[in-house]
Amino acid sequence: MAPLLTTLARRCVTQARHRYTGTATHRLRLSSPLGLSLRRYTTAREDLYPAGASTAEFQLEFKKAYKTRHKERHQHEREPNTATDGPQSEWIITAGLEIHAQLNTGRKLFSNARTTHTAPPNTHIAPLDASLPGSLPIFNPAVLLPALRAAVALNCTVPPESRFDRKHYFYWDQPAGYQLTQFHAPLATDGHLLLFPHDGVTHTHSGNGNSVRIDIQQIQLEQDTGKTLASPPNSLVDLNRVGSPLVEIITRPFDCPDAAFPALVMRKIQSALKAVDACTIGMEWGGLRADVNVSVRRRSTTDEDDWGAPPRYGQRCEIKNVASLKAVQEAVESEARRQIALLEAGETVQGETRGWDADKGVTRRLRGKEGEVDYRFMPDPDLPPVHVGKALLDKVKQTIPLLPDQLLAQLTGAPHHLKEKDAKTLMLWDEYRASAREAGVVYYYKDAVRRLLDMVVREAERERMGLQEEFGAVVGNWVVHELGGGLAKEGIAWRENPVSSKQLAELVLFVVMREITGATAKTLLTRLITAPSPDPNFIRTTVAAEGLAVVAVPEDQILDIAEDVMLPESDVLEELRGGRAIPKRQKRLKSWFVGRIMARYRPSTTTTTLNAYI
Amino acid sequence: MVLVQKKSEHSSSSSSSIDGRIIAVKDNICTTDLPTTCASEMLRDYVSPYEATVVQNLKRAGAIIMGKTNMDEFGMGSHSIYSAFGAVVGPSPPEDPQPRSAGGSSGGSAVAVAMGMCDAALGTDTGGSVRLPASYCGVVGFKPSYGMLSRLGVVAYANSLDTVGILGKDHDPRDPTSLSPETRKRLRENLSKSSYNKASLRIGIPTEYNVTELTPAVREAWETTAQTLLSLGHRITPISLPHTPHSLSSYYVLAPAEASSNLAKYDGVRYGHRSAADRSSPDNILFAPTRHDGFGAEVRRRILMGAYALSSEAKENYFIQAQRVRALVQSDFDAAFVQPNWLKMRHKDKRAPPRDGGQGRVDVILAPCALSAAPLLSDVRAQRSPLDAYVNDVLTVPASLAGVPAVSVPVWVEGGRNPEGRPIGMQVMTQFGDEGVLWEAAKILEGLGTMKACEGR
Repeated sequence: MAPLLTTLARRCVTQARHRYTGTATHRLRLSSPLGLSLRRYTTAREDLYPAGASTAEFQLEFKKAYKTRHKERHQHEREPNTATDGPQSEWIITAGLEIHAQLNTGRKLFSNARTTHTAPPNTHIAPLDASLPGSLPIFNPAVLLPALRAAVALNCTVPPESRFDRKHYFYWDQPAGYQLTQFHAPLATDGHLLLFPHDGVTHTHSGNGNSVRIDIQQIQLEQDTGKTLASPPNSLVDLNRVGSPLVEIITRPFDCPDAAFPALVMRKIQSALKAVDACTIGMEWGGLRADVNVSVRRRSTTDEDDWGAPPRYGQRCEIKNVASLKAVQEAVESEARRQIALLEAGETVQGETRGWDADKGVTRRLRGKEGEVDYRFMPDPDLPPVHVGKALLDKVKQTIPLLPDQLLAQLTGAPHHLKEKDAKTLMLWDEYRASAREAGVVYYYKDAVRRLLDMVVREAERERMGLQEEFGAVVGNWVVHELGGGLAKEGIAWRENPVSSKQLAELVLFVVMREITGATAKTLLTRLITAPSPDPNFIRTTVAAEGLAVVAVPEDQILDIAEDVMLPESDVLEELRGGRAIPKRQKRLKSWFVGRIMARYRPSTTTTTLNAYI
Repeated sequence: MVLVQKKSEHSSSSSSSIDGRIIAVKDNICTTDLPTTCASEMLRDYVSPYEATVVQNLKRAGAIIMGKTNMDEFGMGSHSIYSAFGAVVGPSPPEDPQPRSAGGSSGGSAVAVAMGMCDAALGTDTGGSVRLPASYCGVVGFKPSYGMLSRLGVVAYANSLDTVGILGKDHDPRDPTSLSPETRKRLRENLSKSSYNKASLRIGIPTEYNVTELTPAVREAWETTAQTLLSLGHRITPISLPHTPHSLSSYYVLAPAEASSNLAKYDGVRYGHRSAADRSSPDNILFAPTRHDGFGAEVRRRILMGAYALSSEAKENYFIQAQRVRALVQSDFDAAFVQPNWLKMRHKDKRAPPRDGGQGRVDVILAPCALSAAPLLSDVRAQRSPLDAYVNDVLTVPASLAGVPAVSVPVWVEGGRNPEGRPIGMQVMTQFGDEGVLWEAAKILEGLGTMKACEGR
């Protein structure tokens, strides 16, 4: 028994290490199939936007991001189902989600034991967790912060008092014989979230307006259960997880524009929880699980006519314990098909609890109405009510990190002006938690932009600057392409990035001020990555010391050189001058000349004047 | 059998009044050096890995823990006969060959004190489990205000009613139901302004406690005690606690409901008894054989009652209704006492000073503790229904429901309807947290000595 548990635990630990530090094997596996999904960056100004970054390696840093993108693609790859998809379909799917997410806390909800996912089985158990006789629960107030952040992120009302109830059922992974949860008076109620086109909602989804609103009925605190490790003919139980704090988020029923929609809602909730640092563990650890309620009804004219009247939902079935976004999507799809087939055959849908069989791709009946568990809810007689004062709630509201929607709006708006795609890339790099941590990529980016704008304001007294709205985008490109690519090439993790935001801002400043060329800038950045310098003014110092600045060449001198280069090539010159060449060819010829002239001169010569001359 | 333990070496306060005293501990209070069985087959060999706060505190004060005492299984019973280790037999004079009930569920603790085996014993009182045995065995039994003593390490029967029967001062941060230091301070400060005069206490006699089932000997002892107190200069006032008749049914809904929940943890998976049938047959309903074998009949009965009371079809009529009754019983007490219930007052509530007794309000309530003196065990066993024993709690459960302190003090009356001269337990109840006046009244009762029976009215 024991060796098996240990082996399992060891395997889990190893997987965790792979997942979080990204070993070499991991990278190899990810590099090839996902390389294709990297976007091509469009560049507005050739000399400002370094092109041709080595994206293949750069992507390795983003493996999490790719996974998410991958899932996203999968969602869009689903076969459309004309019976349920779109506003013209014959059937409407209604779904409701009960999402369980592990809160990000160090200790358990009612005991002093640590929360852990990787420790050897049965090593983090307080007397209460094993339900020893005489043990008593003590509420861990540290749980309130992440739970309240979740409540605020989902726009909930937080009443001043919530209470705990006992929900009784017998199962070996539930030592007390009941779960402490909040049935009668939950932590938070009546919230909502909005889904936008960038969440994957297609335009058919959002019939009215730009977004779809999902109502949250309540958010409650509750205890997690233990884990069962199958070892036929025995079941082994690991109690480490018993009593870990969960939030259960219950949505109100919502109509689905298509069967993929509930998974989008789930992902949106997941990313919000992550962004506000309420829940950091993904589905892969069982950190996020859902019970999904599904019903279908025929679309009829009365739906549109009965203003204000609640729709008459079909009989719902509950699918228990669905543990990934993909499974949610497939389970809803499959269950909707099953219910529609029943109804079209003139039969009725039985209200029942079902399970999701991922291998066969079908839901299976677990128990019917007659087999429903009577949970015998009872207010817990030991625990006092949880009081949330206005001061605490205000504090949470003031300090809550930006939500993905807010961050995206910030990055795509002034003064950053990032393209949505680039902004999302930065956010994915941070796993949607940029604003929560100062070490994050988004934080670094924003800091660099702020510094650049400061410098520009000072420089602008000497020079006229007219391109300010593009600075954010330029910095974005340097962070994503050059810095990201350079770090990846050297195998340096983001948290060990040696280039300070001040150095990067100065580098970009020199580029946009045309004091150095893009090529020089790239070389300087590579030097900073491979041989870090503590000098915050490294760029300024080095450019001055090594004479890398673009030399302002007198116009007649350029003309002399140009004539030297161009006159011998009279054929080419003729073709260019005569305007016979098509524009594309003309451009190439121009470049050819510029290259020739540059070869004669110093590499720091700017090409702009030359282009203009030619 | 008496287990004696050497005096703890790190006992700090040698000046403590408990220092060197021999204390027995009821077997539902966790000890690390002795098993904690709750008198149940389920926990026959169970040894707790941690110690109850009350036991720790006793040891720290220099007490010697003598051993663990027998009881009704998990505290459920009124005669201490429902034990996996056999029934407790009450103390009786040598000329009385008939074994008598020790009362329950803390029967073992009461007998240990009555027989002089120890200076004091810890019991637990959920609905009268300390007061009733004290009454039957002729010793003092004290149930403090709810939350006054830590329940950490006390195996729960009914959490909202459980109390440990001994006096303590300190808050236990590991017990969520232990009164907080702020609450204790508030109670202390407000109650210190109390206006009672210990030479002339205002004593209430609740008419609803004069139930028809009261034996003549008990009724006589009650009257005699009241008369004697009157003659000593105290003021006797008849009072009404109108919801008393409903408290017993309320208690027998609420306590089993909480018990059914508390005892769900005994499934044989992690510790305790596990039935062989639970392992062998895959068709078995898991846990059922273990729980059937491990619990005695009375415990099973209360689990079933409690589970029913919480079921969705019965909850509104039983559990919720019983909670309403409980609130009414509490307000009965609040209306009777001179002192307001300071626990319910807001922290900064500037309530008027304690009301005077002119409106029929009293400092303490005096009532009998049990319907009769200790009955014969043979009579108890001959009862037609196990439910007959529940009636015994009728006089003790109101104080439990209200959470107020109560002490049972034995009185002796001669020349009346109690020819055997058996002790009768008189119960003193006071407002929540008002243990001060409770002890004054208890001392007065103790000083009464043997009284001459007065004429019945």
